[in-house]
Amino acid sequence: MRDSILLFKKEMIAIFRDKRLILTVTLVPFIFIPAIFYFNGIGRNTKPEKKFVIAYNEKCPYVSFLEKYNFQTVKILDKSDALKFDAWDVFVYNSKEDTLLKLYVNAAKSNSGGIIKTMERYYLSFRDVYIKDKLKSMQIDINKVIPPTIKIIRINESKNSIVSFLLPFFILIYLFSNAIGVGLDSIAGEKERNTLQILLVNRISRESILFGKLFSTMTVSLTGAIFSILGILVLYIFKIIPNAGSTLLNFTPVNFSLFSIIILSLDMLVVSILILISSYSRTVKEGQGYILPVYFIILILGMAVMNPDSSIAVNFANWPFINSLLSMQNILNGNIHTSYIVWTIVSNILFTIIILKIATILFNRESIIFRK
Amino acid sequence: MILLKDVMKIFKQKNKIIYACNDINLEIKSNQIFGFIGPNGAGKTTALRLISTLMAPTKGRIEVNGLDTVKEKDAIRAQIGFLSSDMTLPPNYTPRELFLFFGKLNNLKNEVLSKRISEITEQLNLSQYVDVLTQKLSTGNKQKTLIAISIIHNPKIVIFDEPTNALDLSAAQSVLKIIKQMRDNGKTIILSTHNLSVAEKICDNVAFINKGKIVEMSDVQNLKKKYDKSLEDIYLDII
Repeated sequence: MRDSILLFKKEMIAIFRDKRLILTVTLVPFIFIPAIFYFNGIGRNTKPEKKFVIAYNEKCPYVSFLEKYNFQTVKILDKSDALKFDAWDVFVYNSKEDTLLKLYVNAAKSNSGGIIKTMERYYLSFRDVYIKDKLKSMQIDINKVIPPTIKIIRINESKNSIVSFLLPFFILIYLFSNAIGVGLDSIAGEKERNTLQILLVNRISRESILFGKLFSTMTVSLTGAIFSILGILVLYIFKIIPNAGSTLLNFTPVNFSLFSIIILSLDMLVVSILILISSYSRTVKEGQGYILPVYFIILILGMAVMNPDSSIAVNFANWPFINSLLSMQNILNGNIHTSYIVWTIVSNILFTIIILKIATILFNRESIIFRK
Repeated sequence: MILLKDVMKIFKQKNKIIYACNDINLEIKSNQIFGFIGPNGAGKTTALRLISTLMAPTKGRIEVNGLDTVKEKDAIRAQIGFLSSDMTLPPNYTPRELFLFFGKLNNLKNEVLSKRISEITEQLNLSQYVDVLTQKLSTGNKQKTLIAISIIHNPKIVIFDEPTNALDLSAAQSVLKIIKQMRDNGKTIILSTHNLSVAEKICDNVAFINKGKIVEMSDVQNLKKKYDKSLEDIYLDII
């Protein structure tokens, strides 16, 4: 262990000198996670609906209804002018001959989908009001004609928020992506540069070398994960994600400790896979070739488990990675299943031991170390 | 003393079997410069890797000062320093940081280590570069740093694989001078080279190796007397 710590300290010197790596590990998750969500529109859901301009040829009850909701309207005389969409977004054409209202929307506009949905939604409201008014004027009891409306009342609602699904996913992705560079370089890179032999010929066991490399790679990937959590906190502070506060309220000291232990054990598993691949690979490039499919599988699993009711999440709940993601989600939602969390941590440690054992066997083989 | 008894090293590549070392028997006495001479792919590097415990022989036995290279690797590694021409320095470190790391790895205490660093850097004219990042060092100073790393723990035996390869003339001369100094300070040096003038200049004993077999081995002076030729001409005759 002494030699592993010595090697760990040495590795950290080079890591801290690599400014590009430090920026990738810290600033990228810290800035990019809020940026991704902001530009992806999650933030925009909480903002008031944008009103657009509606043109019409003949005023009809639907247009009057829209005006009540502060839509700006413009009267147009010539239909061909109306379809130029100069200063309006929708043209409502009332043909007089029939009861059909034609709504023209410029489909080339980027927000045309949103405009259509809004117009449909307002039309449904308008239709309800219209029918009710007509029935009232005909002195017909509305309740006898219109079916009852429904209201959904949630019982035992957990404090779920989008953060509880996104945070575990981003933690996994950042644990992995930040570790790839350092993990592969730690052994495969040293083989490629012929710097590994200096270590191998010294009085340090192969196991100590692997553990030293494991600890330094873990430090880098954990730093990335911590900064991704900080990035999520930024989302909460600037209210980019709704209900993030209720998720954070679930972080009691016990929950936080459990959450941290799961991340730590998951990081061990992620980094041990990288160390295994790095031990086998002759070059970083070869290692990247092996790691890419693994990374994609983990990416797909992470996305599938973002919905805990998905078949993957239900059928493979005890599998590595999936159990870590589900355990983190449960903790963030305030649902602590102690036995499941313990199983998650134990399985992560067991898999790490098995993978490191295989890595040690590979690392001790001349045919692997001196593979050309 | 280093002893190789019936040593074989076989590599299997697809359907091909390569005899990198084929029945090698030799004895290298202490306090001398011993050279393995041979063309590329002759088995020089494999022989050095076997002696330095980086590889295990397929058959036979190697002893370094009475210790078995397979069973007593750690004890041997404490006594040897190894440097190969294809080794490079890891980037983003200063020579001092590397000296400290490898010194501590070899259980040197802080005071002993600082003294040793001063000694070696002075001897190798590296003192002014000791805090410069390795990627900024010249090729000659990089090689000197590698030499310093390999001898930081003051090993009894130093193994150099092609020590002057890729070095310019002055850097090569400087490295050869250091090797001679080490021999004069009581160390045993084993090196490999395909540069005959290097071998002639510094080796006390040489072994000609070709296709994994030792084809001639002797004291350099005796060899020259026996064949009445320079090492280069002997090499061309034998190999």
